Amino acid sequence: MAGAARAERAIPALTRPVMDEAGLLDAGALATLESELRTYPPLAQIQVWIIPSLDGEPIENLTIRAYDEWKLGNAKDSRGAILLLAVNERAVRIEVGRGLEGDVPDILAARIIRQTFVPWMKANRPATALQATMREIYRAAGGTPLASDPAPRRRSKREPLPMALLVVLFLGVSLLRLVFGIGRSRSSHYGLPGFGGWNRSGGGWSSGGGSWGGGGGSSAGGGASGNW
Amino acid sequence: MKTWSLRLTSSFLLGSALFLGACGVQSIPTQLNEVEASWAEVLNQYQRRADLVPNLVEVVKGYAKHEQETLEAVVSARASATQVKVDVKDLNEESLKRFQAAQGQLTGSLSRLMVVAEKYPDLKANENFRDLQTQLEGTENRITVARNRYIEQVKTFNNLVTVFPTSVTNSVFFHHAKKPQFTVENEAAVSKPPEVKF
Repeated sequence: MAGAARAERAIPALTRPVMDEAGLLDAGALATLESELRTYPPLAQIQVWIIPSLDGEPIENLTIRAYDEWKLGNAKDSRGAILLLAVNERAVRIEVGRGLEGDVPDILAARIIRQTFVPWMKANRPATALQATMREIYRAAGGTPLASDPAPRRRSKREPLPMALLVVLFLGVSLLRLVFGIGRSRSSHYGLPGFGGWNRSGGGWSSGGGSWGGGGGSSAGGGASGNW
Repeated sequence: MKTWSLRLTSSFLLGSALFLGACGVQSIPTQLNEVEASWAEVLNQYQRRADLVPNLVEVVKGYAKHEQETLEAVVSARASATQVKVDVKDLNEESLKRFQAAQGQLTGSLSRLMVVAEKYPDLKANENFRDLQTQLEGTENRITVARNRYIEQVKTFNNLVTVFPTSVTNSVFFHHAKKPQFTVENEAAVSKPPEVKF
């Protein structure tokens, strides 16, 4: 670990729950995973990061650098986790934030990798592997994933709203927001023109969700690594 | 006229002395706290590793009865390691070296144990052993992370204590010595690969 001769990979900015630099997932799978991951906080803020190659850096080194940079989970709880895949080396690591160490101890992380992640990857189903894995982590953190309880906040036994309808509803709300935004800026005599609806970034039109960022959490180096 | 300029000069000197003195009055004690906290974390993780050893020895003993030498080496290394306690108040270059040496011995004997365990497929398949192996790997990683954080905090602290202008504050008010750094453990032993006797 002392004095690396080669330049270390730069940690990218944290913009979205699934950052796929290797093109492993298709757009549909990526969107599905992302929208699910966005429902997990505050119980767990899970970040999926897929890279083409580790370029010689030990995987534990990379995840701890990433966690230091991204600070998943908030400063008080650190309930975050990074799920890192290096396609070339067929290496995987779950880096667990301090707050999740109790719910996801190293043994459990290793077990999840061995029994859930690796079999799906060997069957050439990366999206399913990721989905099943993140759900295991979420369950351990005390959550109930969408598949088993699609309406986690409602106690009624009604049939859950299908995903497509939710997306349409969300877009509808964003549209309304924009409409109100334009209305406000037009009628305003003091504000700058165009200051309102159109400048709203990060929220509205992005597919399915608002901002995504770390809250000051940290990791002590807990978790587990594996290969498929 | 002369007294006026004298007063001006002396008040200027006093002002700059106070200003320079103020540098580090807050940051040095704060950083010292950071160093102490990160050292506590290092001790914590090393202790965590030591706690794993008894279980590990028991499981391996069940399958590799004839590896007495290796097992005994681990047990005695652990005993020595837990005896070398370095409180943060006693932390200096010499005590850190002692601490590192004791822990390094445990690291060496543990890695030899894991190499030996490779010879026993039944042991490797044992669920308990696999869990302990995972925990050991996890703990080694946490130790690495804790050490790196300690190194960073000490670097910052040592800079405050030795670099102007906070060094002035240190020599006037605090008189803290530089904190010791981790060194590359016993380079000779590290470069030699562990023996595997068949």
